[in-house]
Amino acid sequence: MQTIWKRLNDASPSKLRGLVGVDSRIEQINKLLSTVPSDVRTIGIWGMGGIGKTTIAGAFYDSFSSQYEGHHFLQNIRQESEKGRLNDLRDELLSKLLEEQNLRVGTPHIPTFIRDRLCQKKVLLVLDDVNDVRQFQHLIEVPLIGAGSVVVVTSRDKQVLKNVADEIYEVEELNYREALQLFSMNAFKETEPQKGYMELSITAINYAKGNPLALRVLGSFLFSRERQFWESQLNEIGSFPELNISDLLRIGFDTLRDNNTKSIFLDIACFFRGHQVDFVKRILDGCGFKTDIGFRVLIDRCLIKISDDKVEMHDLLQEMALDVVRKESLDELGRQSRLWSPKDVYQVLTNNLVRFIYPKVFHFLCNAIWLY
Amino acid sequence: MQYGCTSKFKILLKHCFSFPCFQGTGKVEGIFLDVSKIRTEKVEGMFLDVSEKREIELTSTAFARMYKLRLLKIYNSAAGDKCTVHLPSGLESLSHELRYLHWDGYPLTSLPCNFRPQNLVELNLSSSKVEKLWREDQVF
Repeated sequence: MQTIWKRLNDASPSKLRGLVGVDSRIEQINKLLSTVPSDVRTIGIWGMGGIGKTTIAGAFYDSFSSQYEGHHFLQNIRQESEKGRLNDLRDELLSKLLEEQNLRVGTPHIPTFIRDRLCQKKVLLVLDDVNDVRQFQHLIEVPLIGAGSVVVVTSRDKQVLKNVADEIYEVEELNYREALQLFSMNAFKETEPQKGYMELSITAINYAKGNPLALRVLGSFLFSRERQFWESQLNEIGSFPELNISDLLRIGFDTLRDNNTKSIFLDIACFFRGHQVDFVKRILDGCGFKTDIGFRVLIDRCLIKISDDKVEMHDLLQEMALDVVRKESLDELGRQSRLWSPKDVYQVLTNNLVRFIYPKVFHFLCNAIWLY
Repeated sequence: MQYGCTSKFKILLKHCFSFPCFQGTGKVEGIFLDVSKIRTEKVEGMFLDVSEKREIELTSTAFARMYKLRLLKIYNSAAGDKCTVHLPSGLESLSHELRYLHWDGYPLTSLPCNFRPQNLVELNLSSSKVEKLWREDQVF
């Protein structure tokens, strides 16, 4: 069996980058694409959170972008759209596709001179995490780009993709072999489980249900831990009545050993996702946290990652973190350590009634009570 | 006075004694009386995006009891729009624990007089009306 493992591993070019099962999925996307007859082909990548939609779209982009005259990968569209930054995203997209710096359109419709240039270009475009058809329509008008272009859209919402894509590729869970490999890469830094750990590893991957994010988080928190720790943790996970992916991610957080690292993680999730690393580190250092070690632990545990000098984390991990903070207090907002939603902040600020009483009034009050 | 009955007085007194305000000189100049419905002592970080609500008016003591507040950002994510938080009666206090203060369009000409900026690592008061950050005799 081990020789088969080795051969399979050696065959995969994605192996070096810690990607598992991506090549076969790209192949399937290509097959689907070849069935679409139109000039400009739009393909949707659909699947649950943490299943690897963005990773697959990214790998697809890396493999094929050189074959197109223009290409761009637009990240976090849902998030940026919530911040009202769709126009900026479209400017970014047009600048990249037309290779012109700082192109500013400003108007809702794309001007003719840009249209004329766009329709001559064969482009590859990835729109990552779209959750509304209008985002797609705002960013790109499909008849606008040149023949032979490909648009890849990822979403958790199948309905959105049905409206915009010619074909939808549904990302499947990792199969047993892939799951064991990805888990081992995180838990042992090797492509297969260490001797004597096979059974425990199988228990672990069964819990993760083929979800790559869960496999990474689970594997990295068991990394270099003694057997006893593995057994107790896996037992505990097994006792969950209805184990889901967010429970597993939560365990990744709960088992962080010190409050320093936990606080850093929560601060990033609530406030600093997508900010420059240096900026975030400076502020958190100022708060008295040990950021060097904290960041290292969080990166090792697959809870955050640094890309383009920015601190990033997976949506599901952020949701888990926000949930941790929300659960600090279910009834009273002010008992929460961090507030980020405008509604909550507004409520706290406007209900935080404190009156300033001057001494004379204070003495009057005391006398009044004494007499009473 | 609106607080007429004994039990309310007792509550008031309790609060009075628990939150006295000492100014720089050490002399008691007044007392913060807390009648809030929401406790805020635990808040360490607060980011407010005002793009949904155009105009917000806060009382001068909006941040008075957030002793632990280390991160405060008030901003408008909608490009081009200004941040409009009004403080018609000024601002009484800000947490001494503040490390990060970012307030686009801060509406006053100075920070609260008892604010101690020693711990700040990042201060951003862009498009604000600030003329003077703190008094000369405040030790930085």
